[in-house]
Amino acid sequence: MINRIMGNVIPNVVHKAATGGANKGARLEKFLQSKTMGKVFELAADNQNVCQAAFGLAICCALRPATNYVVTKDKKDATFASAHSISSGAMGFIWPMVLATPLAVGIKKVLAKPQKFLKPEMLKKFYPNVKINEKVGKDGKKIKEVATNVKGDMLREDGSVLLKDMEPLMIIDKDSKALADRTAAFEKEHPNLYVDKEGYVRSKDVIETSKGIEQKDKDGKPIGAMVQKDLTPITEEMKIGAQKEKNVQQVINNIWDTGLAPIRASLTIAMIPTVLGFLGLKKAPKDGEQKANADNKVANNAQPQKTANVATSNTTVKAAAPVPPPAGGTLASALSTVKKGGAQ
Amino acid sequence: MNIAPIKPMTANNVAPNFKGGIKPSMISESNAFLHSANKKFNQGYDKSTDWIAKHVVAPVINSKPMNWFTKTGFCKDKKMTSYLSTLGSFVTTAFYIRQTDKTLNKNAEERKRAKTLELNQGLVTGISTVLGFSVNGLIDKGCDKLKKKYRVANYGDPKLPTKMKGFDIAKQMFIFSLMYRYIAPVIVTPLASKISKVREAKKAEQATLAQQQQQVAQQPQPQKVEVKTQSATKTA
Repeated sequence: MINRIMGNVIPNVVHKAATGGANKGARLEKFLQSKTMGKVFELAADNQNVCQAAFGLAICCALRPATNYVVTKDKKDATFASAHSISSGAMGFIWPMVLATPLAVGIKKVLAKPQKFLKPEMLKKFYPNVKINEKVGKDGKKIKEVATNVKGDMLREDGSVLLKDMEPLMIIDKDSKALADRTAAFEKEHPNLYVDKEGYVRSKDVIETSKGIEQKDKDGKPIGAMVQKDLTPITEEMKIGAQKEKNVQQVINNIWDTGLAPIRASLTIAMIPTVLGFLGLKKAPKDGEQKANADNKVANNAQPQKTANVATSNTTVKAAAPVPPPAGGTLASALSTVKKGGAQ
Repeated sequence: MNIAPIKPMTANNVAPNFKGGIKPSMISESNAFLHSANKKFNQGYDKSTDWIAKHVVAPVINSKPMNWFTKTGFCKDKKMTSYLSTLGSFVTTAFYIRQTDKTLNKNAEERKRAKTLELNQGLVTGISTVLGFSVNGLIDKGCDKLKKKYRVANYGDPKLPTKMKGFDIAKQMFIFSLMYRYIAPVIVTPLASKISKVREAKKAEQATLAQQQQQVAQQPQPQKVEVKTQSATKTA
């Protein structure tokens, strides 16, 4: 049931929402060609921390406050919860903007010209078909060097210029007749290649593999490997190399941020009262602060001292015995962890 | 009557820019400082990122731990974004649990409260993570279809390789951000609270029963035991 909903119903609803049910093709194409979508994907590829923070900002500043106002009966409480959400989202965005961007730019520079920065052994892992030359150094030791041409571009083992762009070559045309003509002409010109139903150009000589197993279509015919724009077949090894490069980039981008997460969380929590004050909500009662972190749940911010148990009644604290409200912002911070995501 | 001619648009007679921001052509000679400051900032930023590339990023990628990492199965896993989001969330949760543990330790009541809170925090992160991976897996096929359509719609765009690289990352990031920042506080927290509540209620019930049994053992007088049991239940 869940599989059916998640696998079919939701994608169909999204698809219909994007297409509006009518004039599907054109609307979907317009939706997919939107500049915003492109920018988001570019940001995700180059600077994952900022992209994640941007998603967090949108959720914390729009989606959650909207939910708070709809779900929470007490509008004052909803305001406090929303203010917390907005401030944590905003601070979660500033942190990576300031600290992650220079690093992300540095990574981009390295990966733009890896032959300039990386060791040949590492390059071979990212680009399995790169040519490595061996030279004997002055001290008699063997030195490995990446083969490059005059322009400094990396070369493949066969001597051709290595194309880092792993996007497959396609032949597409909106006009079906023109597409058929172009396909026929291409296949005639390149007898070792063919164009599949979706428009991907595939090799007849190199078969597509997955975990070393040759892939076959429904009729049992082997599926040819897709080709790069210079007609070089994209092997599984090359795909793994590209994935490795992508993952190494992500790890470097994220690991320091993960390591500094406690500091970021402390700063975020410490700054929340300041931001609330800036928003004119400085006199938020302590229990109100704690409760606000539980967002859409009803709490009594107006009488925090008298109704300490009530104020926390929607968190697990309700189950505990009556305890006087804790003193100090630190505890309020600790209690705000109920919200977890908000302070992340 | 002579009417003064309308002055042509010059650097010192700037028309308002309704799109916001300042165009370079709008900065007059008197604001040459802005030009040079902007230029110097860009040069400095460029140099600093060059330094980061050479002295931070390159040594890290060439390091032995990274070499070991590239040999592991994780390095070729397509779910790396999900793993990193989860790791970040676990670290943050661990920090909060530690903070709660450190802060609420004055007496037995606070310890009890701390444990409840810690359980809640752990449950929220755990359930959100499971949900994140489940949703990610379930929409995988649909997203693959959308990815192909995206490629066809933007074929020929010089930035397409970068955009395609970001497609999967953005998808996973969006799902996990939604889980940790929206679903967790809005749906999972009340759920976790209910679980904790049930757990606490069971514990309280067990404690009451134990107390009853103890009282029965100590004072085997049916009437007195009954009265004490009632008061014990009320207290709980």
